[in-house]
Amino acid sequence: MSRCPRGRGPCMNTAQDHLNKAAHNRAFLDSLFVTNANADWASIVLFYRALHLVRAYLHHLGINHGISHGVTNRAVAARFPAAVSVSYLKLYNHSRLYRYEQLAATVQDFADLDRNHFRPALQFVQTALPSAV
Amino acid sequence: MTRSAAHSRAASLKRSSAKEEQHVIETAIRRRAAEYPALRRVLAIDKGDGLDLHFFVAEPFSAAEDQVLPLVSEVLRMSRVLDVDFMIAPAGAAENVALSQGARPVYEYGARSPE
Repeated sequence: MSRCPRGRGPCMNTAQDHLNKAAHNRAFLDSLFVTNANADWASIVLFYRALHLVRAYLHHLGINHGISHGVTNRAVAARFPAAVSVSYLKLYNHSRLYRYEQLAATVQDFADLDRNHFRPALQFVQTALPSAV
Repeated sequence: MTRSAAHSRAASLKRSSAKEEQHVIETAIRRRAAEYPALRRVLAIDKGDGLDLHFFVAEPFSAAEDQVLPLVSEVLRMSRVLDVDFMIAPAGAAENVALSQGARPVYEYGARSPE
């Protein structure tokens, strides 16, 4: 992982940094037995896996993804195919709703987010970055 | 022009652009909202250089969310200066949470759309 300027510790300045973080999040999810009791946090980690994949892709295109969700969401809405963009925004929305307990998550919800929204985003990123996982 | 005067002018221009963009986004939501019948209410929370838009939708939630997401995507593409965040949530208790945080109404279901 590269270092931030001004000596502030680890930073994510390259596509590879984000791919590494996405792989780390995948390893965590693989270690988890998802149940209704933890499907909310599993879905939140799934979103962060997607976040690092789309930020890696934006780095690859040389586009600033910013440091806020707002700037990344705008870049995704502008640069990704409409269906992939909507899937990413759905993952973001669910992570926010689950984090603040405005919606309950089940194993089925997690599986739906993974299969119908995360996978298409991953496949799209892999067209440019084949090592993405 | 001194450096502080230049800074002050730049900040003033940014504020003015942000205000203009906020108006454009909120007007677009009001104009388009009727095309999304699941949409019940839109509230906005001002966040300095950003805007947090809360879209409240009817049940069933998942279908309503899918209906409204393309509108959200369109709104995000309209932003240039503002850092626009969003949430799509089931209509209900969370609306009071947003209102307690100073949210402003942008759209109400059944309201007449602007010309």
